[in-house]
Amino acid sequence: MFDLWNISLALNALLVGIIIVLSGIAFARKNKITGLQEQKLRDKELELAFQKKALFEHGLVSVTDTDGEILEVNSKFLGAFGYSRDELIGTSIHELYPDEEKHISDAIRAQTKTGRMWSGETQLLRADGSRAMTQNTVVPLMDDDKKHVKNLSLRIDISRQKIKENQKLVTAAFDKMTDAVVLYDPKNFKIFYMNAFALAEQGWDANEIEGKTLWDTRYVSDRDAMVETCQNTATQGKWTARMENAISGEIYEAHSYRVVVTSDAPRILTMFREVTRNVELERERNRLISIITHELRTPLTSIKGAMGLLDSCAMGPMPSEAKNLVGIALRNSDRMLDLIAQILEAEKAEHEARHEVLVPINMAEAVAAAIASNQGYGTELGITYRDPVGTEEVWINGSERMLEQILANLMSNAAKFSPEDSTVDVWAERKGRRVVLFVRDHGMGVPKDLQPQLFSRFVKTDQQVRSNVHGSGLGLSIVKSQVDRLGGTIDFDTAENVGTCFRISLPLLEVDPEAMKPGAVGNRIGA
Amino acid sequence: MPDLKRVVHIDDEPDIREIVRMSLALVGGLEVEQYPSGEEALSHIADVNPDLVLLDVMMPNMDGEETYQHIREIDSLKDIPIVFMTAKASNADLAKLRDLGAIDVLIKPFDPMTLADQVKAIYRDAKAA
Repeated sequence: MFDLWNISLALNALLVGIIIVLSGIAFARKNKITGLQEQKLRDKELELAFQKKALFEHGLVSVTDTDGEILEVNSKFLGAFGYSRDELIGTSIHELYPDEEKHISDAIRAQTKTGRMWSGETQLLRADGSRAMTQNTVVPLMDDDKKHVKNLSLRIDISRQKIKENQKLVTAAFDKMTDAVVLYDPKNFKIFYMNAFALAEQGWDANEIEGKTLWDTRYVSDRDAMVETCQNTATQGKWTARMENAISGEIYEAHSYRVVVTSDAPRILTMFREVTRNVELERERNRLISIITHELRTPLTSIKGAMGLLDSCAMGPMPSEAKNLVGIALRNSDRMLDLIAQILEAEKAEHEARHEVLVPINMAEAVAAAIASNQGYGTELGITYRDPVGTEEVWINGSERMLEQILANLMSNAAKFSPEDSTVDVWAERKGRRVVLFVRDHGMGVPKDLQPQLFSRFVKTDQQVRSNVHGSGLGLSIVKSQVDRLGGTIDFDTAENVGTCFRISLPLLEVDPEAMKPGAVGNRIGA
Repeated sequence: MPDLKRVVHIDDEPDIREIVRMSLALVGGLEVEQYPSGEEALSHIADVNPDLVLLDVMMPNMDGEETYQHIREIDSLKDIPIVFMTAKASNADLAKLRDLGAIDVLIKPFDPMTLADQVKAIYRDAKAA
């Protein structure tokens, strides 16, 4: 049985055959031929006329001049792409190619000008802006003097075939996953597809999906939450929510995506990942941290309280040596309390980073705000913060609070390890599809032995310990977890007594700058 | 407006009780009655008739929140200002205690030299409200 590919190949072969035979007939007529030969040629011409008719009825045919101007298209072509004949005749075929494929149009023109046929897959824009994938054969047509005068192009629309191929690839990939993948209609929650893992979890066969809805699965018990997820996915393109099945107690993280296939109504694809154990561990961890900090704070309250009362001489005067000793105990109590506060802060930052809602952030504003709000601290240490390039408007998907924390940590570190009267540079630049944020100091640099573990917790330089530079050694680990949450990466260059430059690379957010101005109605985000 | 005179302090930690006693009595000049558990406090508190209760949150058996509810069930004490003291200082923890009806929450560690002044100020604000 023929499928689209076979039809495409057959029609292309036919087209080439017709061209070759037509050329043969013209050649034979040009040279003298007998009556018998003339009859044979007529028969051949009749056969060809029939074949041409078949060709024009099944293929998308266009004829262009050598520069690509459309001279003729058949009705199949108009029907497939949605244009009227008037819209196309006189237009360059080049304009129907998407921008990133215009080079193919150029290559076809160049090749056919040399008299050689071109064949391959090309995309063309439909009148509604969507794309059609076509198998295309372009044959250069010559006049009697063998001069290239036109191009005849035969296309077969293979969009559906391509989509089916891609679907096969995607479903093969989904079947390898150990998360449940479900594709469904957001209007009635009717299931179209489940991957092998999801089917196995339900104990269903692929044929049993027919008539089933999302409510028949083990993943959802709270309908309101699922309806809300679908609404958010439909409006925002993707959405992540945590769902607890009240009956089984299982907790799932549901990553949902809006899926639009050709002209079909949008569907939603949700990946359900069971996180029951992770959530239990997270709760247990939070409980432990809470207990540990409480257990540490309580004896410290007693120590600090007792020392405080002694230090204030509320219990009577004390010899100066004893007062010194009480002072030591008090200072160290404060250090321990500070450390507990930092541990709690790091945990809080990690927790918030996991649950923070990301919004478009203009990095020019973020850099300027960070310089302004940290300059007071810098001045205390004799440091000037500056933006050496004048950061331009570039956007990321982020959180103001997280960026403030990231920059405050990096900028305070930079100031601590820089000589007095020096500058710390802070700026952001667009690099392709990324935005890179820089914090550069001219200080002592990061010692070699510390570099591999710089983003681990409780890392301090010897210099930091010796010179009593304040800090818990948690700042950079907090920065790292925040950067991870923003989908970014962090690295650094450093040289002893020259300085250190931290680079945070974040995914660029394409925005319409007009839409992001204050007072604009809605924010239009491209990709 | 009556001044704060008598405070009941409930905490299972003897060292903390000692420091709070010194802070409120020696530094602040207040009368202080102390109990090591919610149960013990409940059996005496109505007789003591305090002006304010300082209540630790994390205690074995009956914790601060449960003790709070029982104190509120005593007719003569249903409107008494109750201040929690806690080492768990997350925003969620503090919000939970305030939602319960506590007029304030003091974070441990506290400054023993200013604790009495803090408690007096909280009492004044509660009475003025």
